[in-house]
Amino acid sequence: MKILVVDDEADVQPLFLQRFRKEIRDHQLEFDFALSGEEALVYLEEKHSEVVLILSDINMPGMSGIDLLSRIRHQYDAPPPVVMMITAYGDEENHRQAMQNGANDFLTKPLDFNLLKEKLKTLGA
Amino acid sequence: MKYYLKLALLFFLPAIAFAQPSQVFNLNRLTKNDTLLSGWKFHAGDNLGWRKPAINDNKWQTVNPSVDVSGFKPLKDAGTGWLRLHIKVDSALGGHVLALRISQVTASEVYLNGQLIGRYGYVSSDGKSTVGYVTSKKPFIIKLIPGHENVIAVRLGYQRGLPYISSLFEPLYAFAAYINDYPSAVANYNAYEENLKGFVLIFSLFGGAVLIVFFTHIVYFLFDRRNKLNLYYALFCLLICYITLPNELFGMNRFGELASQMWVEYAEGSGFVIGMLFLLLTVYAMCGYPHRKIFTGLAFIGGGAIIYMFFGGTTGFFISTSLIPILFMFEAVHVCIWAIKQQRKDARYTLLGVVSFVTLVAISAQLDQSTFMAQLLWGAGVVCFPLGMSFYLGIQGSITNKKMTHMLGEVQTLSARSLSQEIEKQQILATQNETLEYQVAERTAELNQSLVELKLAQTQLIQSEKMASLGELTAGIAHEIQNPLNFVNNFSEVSVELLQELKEEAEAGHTEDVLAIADDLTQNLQKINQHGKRADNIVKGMLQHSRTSTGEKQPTNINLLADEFLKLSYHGLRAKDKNFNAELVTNFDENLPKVNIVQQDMGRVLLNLFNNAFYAVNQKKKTAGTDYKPTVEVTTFAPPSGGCGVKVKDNGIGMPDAIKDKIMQPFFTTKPTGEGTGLGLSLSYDIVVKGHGGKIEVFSEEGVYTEFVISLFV
Repeated sequence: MKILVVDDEADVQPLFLQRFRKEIRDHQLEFDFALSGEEALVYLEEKHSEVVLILSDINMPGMSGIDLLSRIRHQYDAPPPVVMMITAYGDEENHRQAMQNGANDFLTKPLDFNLLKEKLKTLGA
Repeated sequence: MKYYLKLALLFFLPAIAFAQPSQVFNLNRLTKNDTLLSGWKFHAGDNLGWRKPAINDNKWQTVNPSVDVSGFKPLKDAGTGWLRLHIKVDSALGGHVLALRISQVTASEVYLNGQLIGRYGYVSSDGKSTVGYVTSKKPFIIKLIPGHENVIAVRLGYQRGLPYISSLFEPLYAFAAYINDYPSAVANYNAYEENLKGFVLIFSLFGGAVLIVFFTHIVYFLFDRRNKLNLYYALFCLLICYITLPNELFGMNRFGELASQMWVEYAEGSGFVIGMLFLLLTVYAMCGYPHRKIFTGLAFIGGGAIIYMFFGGTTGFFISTSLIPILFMFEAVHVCIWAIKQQRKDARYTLLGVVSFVTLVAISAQLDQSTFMAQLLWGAGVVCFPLGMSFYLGIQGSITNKKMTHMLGEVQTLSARSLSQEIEKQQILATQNETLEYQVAERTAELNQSLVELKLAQTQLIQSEKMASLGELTAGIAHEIQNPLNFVNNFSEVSVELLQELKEEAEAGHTEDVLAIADDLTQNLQKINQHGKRADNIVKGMLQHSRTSTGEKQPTNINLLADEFLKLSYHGLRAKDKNFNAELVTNFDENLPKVNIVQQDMGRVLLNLFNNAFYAVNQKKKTAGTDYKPTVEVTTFAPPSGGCGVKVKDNGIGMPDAIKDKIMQPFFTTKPTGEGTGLGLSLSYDIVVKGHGGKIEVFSEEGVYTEFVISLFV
């Protein structure tokens, strides 16, 4: 299962790779990273068919996670990728907007990786 | 008054009784009065030979030269001619010394028996350069040979181009010669002279009085030039006075060159006419009579009379000095009556004067001019007007005086009253001053207190501005700290898991895996350390911001500073407004040298500019369409003049020119009440300009963009 992680923080990449080292080693999961919404869209142009899940931060300079979500929902509907939003600000407004724009799930920072793993399991099943 | 002279001349009236039809004038007895010589023969032309006794003059024309020169046609026509008289003195008169007296307005050379005995004026043969001469009335001795026939020959010349005027209305004799015994002639002359002294005195008194009036009124006029009345009246007096002046200066017995005397007489006549015009103007002024049509007409008539006087001689003089004044005075009477009808009561005094003048002069003109009564009436008439005037002025003066006295009284009362009021006012003023001073002192104290409070408030405001920006920062800082903390937590958690794995692999003896995990662990610990420091820096920066500036300058990388605060500002706003988003564009000149600045201060400036920029784009986003992309752009650059520059540009709401000048003023804000302190840019200005000697400029277009440019010359 290919997962795209979108976050402006570069260190998210080693963190994910380590957290999911077993799953990656067992080829259950495959991660790709984008540092901005724009980069993510460029990536999706080529590989949207491969990507099953998109994890995106909301607060990013330039295109925000919500914008990215909205673009994905408008451009890629066959098959619609699963999009989960991650934000440091876990307030109602962000949640509402994310859901309105078609997010499948809403996670808050700091990320509970155990919870995420559970969710991925249900998704993969 | 001049007519008095006529009275005097009675002494010289000729005793004509002795004139004889024969060609010889026989003088056989003498009388008290001088005897006029008559029986003259005349021949026009000039021949010096005619002076000789032997010349035959039987066929010469018999003439009487003792007439007015205007009536002596033969001489007037010819210009030059000769008179001859044969005179025989009775032997009985042999013991007497005889004297001759000549009266003439011509030029003459008198020859007795061929010998020149007198020359008066200059006789020219062609008459062109003849100079007439008026002889004195003084007799001179003539040596006639008793019992013999003596011949008196007179070479006579007529001067042309003169007005022949006698102000005494007496005939201007072409040539008259009187004879008497010397003592009687001298006695007659002395009596005449004696008589004249009285006239000169009277003339002087009259003239002097009028002159005084002249001076009085000219001074009145000079003091108050608006009142032309005094000027007119003064000029009238001066001209009237001039009539008497020649008599006073020359005496009554005038003799000498004819021309000057004739012109003086002519001027007297002209002066009288002009004087009367001024008298009329005086009456006009007194009565306030506005019309000048009749006056203009009368002035023309007067001018005509003056011109006529040159040709008309004595007749013209009579018209100018008697008829013209009466004519003028009719107009004066008319004006006075008009004034009385206009309720000007004072005019009646003037009228009285004018009427008296006209009446007296008119009556005097009817009388024989040689009588005392005629002179008296004329003189009284002439002074009537000044009398009327004086009466008028006197009444005016006394009325004014009464008014002035009354007003003076009032003024004194008023000034006494105002003085007491003044004192009262001063007292009140003094009291008020005291109160005022007290109040001022009180207010000053209050103001000083207010000032202290204000300063305190200002300090507090500046502090609260700092705190406000700090508050804006807090959310940003929280977010900024959240991220490193997440990493620290996650990496440490993962590391714990890795250690577990490491143990398992070590027990299993998989050395390669153990080493790989150890590498990851090292990397993780580095990450933990790195993010811990990152959080530490953020907290330090926040503390720095809230702390009072130490004012210490240190070399700073402006790019890093700008980047740090751009992020802080952005996340701060994001934290407050979840909808907010903007594109951040950074154009950093990596080659910029470090600049010496106070970091916290300059950081605060940048934070302010960023906050404003984000606010501006956010405001615009509220109204702009979906195509609008909020953008905040930071550029660092090296200005051509050295140092470094930072540009903060946003594509937000911009600002109109009107407020561009005000934004640096303290407490000026465009934000709604409570949202902005209005101190941000003011503080920024102080920091950049006063603290760093730099420059802060703003460029903006309403609705399009705003750009702040900071230039630091360090």
